[in-house]
Amino acid sequence: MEEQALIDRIMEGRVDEFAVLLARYQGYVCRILSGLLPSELVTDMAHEVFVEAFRGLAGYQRRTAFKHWLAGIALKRCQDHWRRQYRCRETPFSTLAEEHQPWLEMVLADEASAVHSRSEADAEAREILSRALATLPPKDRLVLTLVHLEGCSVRETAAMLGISTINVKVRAHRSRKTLRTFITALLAEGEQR
Amino acid sequence: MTSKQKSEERVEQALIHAHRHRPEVTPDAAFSQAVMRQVRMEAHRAAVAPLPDTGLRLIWRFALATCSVAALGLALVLATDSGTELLALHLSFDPLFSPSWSLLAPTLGGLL
Repeated sequence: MEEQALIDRIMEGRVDEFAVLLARYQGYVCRILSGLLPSELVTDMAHEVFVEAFRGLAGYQRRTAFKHWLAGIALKRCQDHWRRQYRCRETPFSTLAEEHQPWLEMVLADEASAVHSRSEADAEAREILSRALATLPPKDRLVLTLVHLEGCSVRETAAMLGISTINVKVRAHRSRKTLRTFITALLAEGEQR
Repeated sequence: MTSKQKSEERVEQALIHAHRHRPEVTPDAAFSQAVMRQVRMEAHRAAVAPLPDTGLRLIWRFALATCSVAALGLALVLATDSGTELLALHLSFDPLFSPSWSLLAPTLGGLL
């Protein structure tokens, strides 16, 4: 209720009060974006999300919570980013397997500290994951990230993306299969070396 | 579960673990200031060039489509060599229309 009044005041021209919304939700938006984008892009994207939210405040439907509306903008922005990236993607697969051979061996041998420290290993894993995700169409990527990696429920994901639960299930299944195929190919490439 | 499947599972779990334990980006004061600066600029821009009512907004929303249709219509008219007057002339001699023209003749003062 208090939030609705705040939005009304911003709409009436008290622009500075947008800082209250910004302070309240900047952590939330950055948390969402951190899971979806490389860390160097997060703040820039969060900036764009809040500016877009301000521009679209007049069209905000009060049926949904402001928080979810904001999350929708963030997800849409990520999808647009991935769409651009997906169009000009390049996957030199052999170099990937070569670069990350020690990481693969470490994971398979289950020796976390033998080759790298944990944080180094995680950074390497994130790089491999981002290459795997880059092979997916943007919407499938978003579903896989939310359902499989972030652990969101199917219903929650459907609500955030504005699609049916069936659609989420189909996309989650399909994208996970693609991820598995990527891992299989990575392992096969590693074995050949 | 075969050893190959186990390996795949292990790699997948390692990727998920890395994703869930990624470092989170926390925005600083400079971030808030930059956002608020742009928000104020946006508000100022909107105040300088306001769209007073929804009617005007509606007109602008469909302006592009309307102009495109008008341009297309103009192009079609220019592409066909017959003008509107010529078309009317053709119609007046068309046997399909001639009975109705003759019915109108008394009202038009015998022009037809």
